[in-house]
Amino acid sequence: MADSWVVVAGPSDQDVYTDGNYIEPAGKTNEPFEVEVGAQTFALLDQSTNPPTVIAKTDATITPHTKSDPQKVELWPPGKRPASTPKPRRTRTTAGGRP
Amino acid sequence: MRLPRAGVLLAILAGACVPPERTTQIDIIDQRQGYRYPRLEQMARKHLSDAFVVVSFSGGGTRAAALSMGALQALQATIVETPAGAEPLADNIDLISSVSGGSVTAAYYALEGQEGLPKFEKSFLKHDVQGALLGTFLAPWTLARLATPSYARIDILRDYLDAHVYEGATYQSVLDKIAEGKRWRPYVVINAGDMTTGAVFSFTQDQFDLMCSDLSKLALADAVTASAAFPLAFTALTLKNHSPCPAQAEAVKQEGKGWISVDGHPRPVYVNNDAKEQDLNPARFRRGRNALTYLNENGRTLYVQLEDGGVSDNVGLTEPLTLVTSTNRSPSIRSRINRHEINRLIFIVVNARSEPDTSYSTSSTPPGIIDTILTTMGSPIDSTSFLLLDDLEATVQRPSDLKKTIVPVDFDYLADPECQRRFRNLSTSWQLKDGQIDALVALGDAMIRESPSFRRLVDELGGRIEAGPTIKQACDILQAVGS
Repeated sequence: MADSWVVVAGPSDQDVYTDGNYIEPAGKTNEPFEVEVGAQTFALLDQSTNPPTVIAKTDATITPHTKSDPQKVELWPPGKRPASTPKPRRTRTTAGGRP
Repeated sequence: MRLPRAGVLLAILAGACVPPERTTQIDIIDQRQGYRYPRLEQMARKHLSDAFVVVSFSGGGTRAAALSMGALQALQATIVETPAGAEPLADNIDLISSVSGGSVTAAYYALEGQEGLPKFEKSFLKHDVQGALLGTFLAPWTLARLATPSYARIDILRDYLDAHVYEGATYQSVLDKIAEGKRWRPYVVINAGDMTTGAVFSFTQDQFDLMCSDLSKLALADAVTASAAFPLAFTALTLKNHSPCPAQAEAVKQEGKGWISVDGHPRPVYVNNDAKEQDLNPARFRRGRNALTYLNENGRTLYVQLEDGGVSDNVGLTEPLTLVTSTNRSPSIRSRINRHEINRLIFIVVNARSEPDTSYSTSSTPPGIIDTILTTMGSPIDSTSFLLLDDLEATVQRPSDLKKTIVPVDFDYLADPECQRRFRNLSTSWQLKDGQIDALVALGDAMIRESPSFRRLVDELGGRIEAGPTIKQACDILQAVGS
């Protein structure tokens, strides 16, 4: 099956956008949701501007996971990552996601 | 005065030798603008918002166009409860994905809505389109034009549809109608086949962004003609590819546009990601690799040659299935499920696949060359359709917390074998008898209203179906006409 479950750890109740589809959020932070396996770019946006402003972005390679054991991805705006959150495995931050 | 006249003549001749570009270069890439589902949602909202309704129309010439119209009639006659009151299910279709003959109906419906269907029946379904095309083809002036590079056989069909069916309408005309009526209209995706990649080419602004082209300026007749360009009968339809262009380079500069620069080439993020990880997700990888060709990074994809969409997918399900699985395509059905915005998925699959009687299995001699060519072309079309229908079942049934309904409208589901044989024997052409059209429209209508899964759906939605034709009546109409 080419779909997987992820949970994006980030500021609470934020829309998460994937792969440059910046008009339809794929899910919410801290809630499991489904995406296709393979390379994914997750982003948090400020939609009050046109085009929207990317406030956090991270790339990850998504492998098959279930809803009960979703793949974890960290997505925090600069300076917003809680100190206790461990750095995620298998993800590499490209912009805005550094603690 | 001789020289100026000669100059004018030369200019005309030079113009006649330049193939039409058909596409217009886009000025700006903006996910909120153009013919896109989210843009349609900004202009008008449908009321049955917790259900996503997909309708697919197959290929099959006028046979498919008529069956599709019948399906739309049934959805109009189905009244469901919505937060805004009782209204036809047809007013709540989200997406129509179509191929070839089905595209003729789909594009007309996008433009004129339910109110336009009676005129469509008169101006297209019950018009001898095949005779009109043949008459144009044999006209001396057409033969002269066909000798120039600016005019091909496909233009005969394109010009006919543009003049007599869509009356010069473009995708912008569809947007204008929605703005004018302030009523929801379904997002229509017309599908053709790309002769270079062999993949489905969907007429969407996302696809046109890759070609740096503005879909809103494209004539509906161009999209429908490409979708219906049956090989051999017609030439391919050629679109100029404007990529790379300044709008793409500009999109890279603003991160919120969803484009990035890869080795100096502008790419949408989704294409770049799709084209990675071949082993993890081969289907997605193929989508990405196909999409990359339109960006013309190697400078060799100057034109896109399109043929009948049926060659790649004759049921029009490829694009909807991608929208069910992917969060990076718009309108992403998967994202709507993720966000709990929809709790119900409805697929109405109208398949006008024919299966004419042949003497192959009773003849001791092999079929002739024409029969062999047609069978060779038809077999992969049918096998791809079967695979896609299986994919639909598997994909739609999987999410467990979603209510799903699949309603097939397909001659295979007719219980009466003689009636089934008559419908399957209707030819694939642009001209059928009026009685045959009446039978097909009645059948498309009746197969939905008599479908057990559809009836269950209507009950669950607290709806009702107004009186209409029965399958038995449709069979009787066809029997009276003769095949």
